[in-house]
Amino acid sequence: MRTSLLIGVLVVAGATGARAQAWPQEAGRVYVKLAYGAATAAEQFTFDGRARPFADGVDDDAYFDRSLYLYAEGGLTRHVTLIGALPLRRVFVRDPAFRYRTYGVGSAVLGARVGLRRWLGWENGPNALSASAAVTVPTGYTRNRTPSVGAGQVDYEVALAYGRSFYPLPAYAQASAGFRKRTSVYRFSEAVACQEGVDLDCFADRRPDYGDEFTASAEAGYTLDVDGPMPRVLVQALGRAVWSVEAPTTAFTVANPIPTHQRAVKVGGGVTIYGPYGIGVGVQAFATPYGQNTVRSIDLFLGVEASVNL
Amino acid sequence: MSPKPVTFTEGEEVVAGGISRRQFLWQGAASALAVALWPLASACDSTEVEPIVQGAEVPFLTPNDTFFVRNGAEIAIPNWAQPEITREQWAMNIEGLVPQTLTIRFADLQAEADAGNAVTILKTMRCVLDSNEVQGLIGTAVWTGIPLRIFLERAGVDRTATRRLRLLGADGFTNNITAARVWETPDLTEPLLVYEMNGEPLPQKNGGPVRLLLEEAFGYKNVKWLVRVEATTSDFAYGTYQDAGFVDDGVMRVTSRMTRPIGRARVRAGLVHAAGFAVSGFAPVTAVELSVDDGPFTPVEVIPFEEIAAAEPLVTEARQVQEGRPFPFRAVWVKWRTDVQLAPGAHTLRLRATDAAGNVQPEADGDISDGINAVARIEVEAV
Repeated sequence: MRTSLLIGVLVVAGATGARAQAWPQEAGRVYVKLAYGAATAAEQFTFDGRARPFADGVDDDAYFDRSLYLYAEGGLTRHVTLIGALPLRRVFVRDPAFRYRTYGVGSAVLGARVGLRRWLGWENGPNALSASAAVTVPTGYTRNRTPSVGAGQVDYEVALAYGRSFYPLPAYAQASAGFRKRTSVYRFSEAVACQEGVDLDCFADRRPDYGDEFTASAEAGYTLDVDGPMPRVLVQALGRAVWSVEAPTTAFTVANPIPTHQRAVKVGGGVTIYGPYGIGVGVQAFATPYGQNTVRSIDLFLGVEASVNL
Repeated sequence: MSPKPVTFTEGEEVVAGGISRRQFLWQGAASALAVALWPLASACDSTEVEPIVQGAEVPFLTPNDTFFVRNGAEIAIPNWAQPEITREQWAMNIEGLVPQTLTIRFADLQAEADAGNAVTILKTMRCVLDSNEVQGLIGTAVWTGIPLRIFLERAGVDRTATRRLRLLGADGFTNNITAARVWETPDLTEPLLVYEMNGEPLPQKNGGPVRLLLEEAFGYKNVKWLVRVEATTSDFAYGTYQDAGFVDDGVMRVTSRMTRPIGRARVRAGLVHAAGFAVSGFAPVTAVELSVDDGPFTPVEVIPFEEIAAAEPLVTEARQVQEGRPFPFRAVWVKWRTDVQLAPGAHTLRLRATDAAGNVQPEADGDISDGINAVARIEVEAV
């Protein structure tokens, strides 16, 4: 029963959810971002928010997520944007005796976002509102590996995002709030036969009934040197939260050692430099100041992004 | 990832790039379908497990500073924190089926020790979670304490009515022992209120200043920072671990472990030295056997007590030794060693133990609540 190591399963759900955005893409415009994410943790948050070592007997970093994330969205019409994301995950955890590494394609995200400005009469104003819906689908990976590249079940998420431009200042802010329905649909992932207590690379396939979650994000950005000779630089303040509807209770049960409810708040910032052809190179960093049943990680993303008109 | 952070203008009504809306819709749908289906066909994940340590022979007595610490309450009780209690501050109430609550202080333990009632025993402390996959939650020490019975009788516990004693640690952790275990189990050392570990004051991290010690039991029956004992007529399996689904009796099931080499290790082909331990709370270990590559199980050498005592003189202070009991002792691990001939290539070593009560590790066990460890399977690569 490697509860400490299994808690990483929950992090997957928090990291790959579709992102609500207030402004849809222009029709025919496609935005693509490829990011390398590095999350590292020496500690986890317990069910009641206390920090403790991620792995018993290990004082150093014991959780490592080194993954590639492909994110894309395209304007289907001026009001409807399709979104998709796919992670190629490398997750390492360790305990005092062993290091466990799993490689694989994580859960894919597919969804759509609908801009609501037209219906609100905001088309020429600074305000924007969009609604989005997305589904997170496992890609056939094995859900009972130690660790797994995903929770193994299907999630649905809906969200509303509000944004505001501060034009003529080159600044914006937006916030989103959503709800994630975590289903018990496990048909898109697999399980290996595992003899718990003997096999090291897996754990018993328990198919937890994960708790539904509220999601939220907030970001504010300011663009430096919009019209000047230097490359355009976007500076962002960022925040994210995942908040299970029901409060996490003890993870300590024989029947299911995998925590089913999580809460986490991540805050951070980012800088993106835009070069020729609108290609941006950026870095984002997050800390996890609060959480319950989640990893207390530092997350770093290095990304390349571009937008093209088809 | 902010896909469109500073673009505030709406796009054109018609699709840009010289394609029609219909074409774009089809392209978008096809792309989405491809994104959806491609990974579904992939299922190409894999897991590697590597040993961080190559394994070692553990000492018979585990030093206090390296003795494992596992607090079940830490992930079970809100706002858990390790109690910080000095010997002077420690107090334990005996409540329930007593004429009136009796408070025991450390001076009372000291007085009993001065009266010659202290008991010193060898005991292997094993967390129920210790297993082939979660290793290291086990250790052996010489423990000294006063029988709990002395204070129960001083408090006037109603022996006729009492079925169980509910135990509470200062951290909120709970468990129980039966009244029969206190008064009607002559083949075991009485439950002790221990205050010394390996000849030193019981460290706080291990439950100091005073914890319960139940000779045959997993760690969770040995409540740390014990502050309350309640005599009750209830026969309910009271306890933090019992609530989580673990077996109530808490007797350490027979188990064996190979600590050298560790699983997944790479070893030099030829004669490979292997070592480890075995223990049972039901009865002394009578056999430790090894199988190589699905061959027959053959006995390995159990290190004789004379060799242990020569290296660890402290063990001779234990009651089991003083009374001249034959070694191995119940609930005290044995160390074993052997040399195995391994040709280059992958090998599977299997290890099992048997105790004098006839308990033997099963080939399989998927229930983590019963404390049973299946036959250990150690996969090594000889190069």
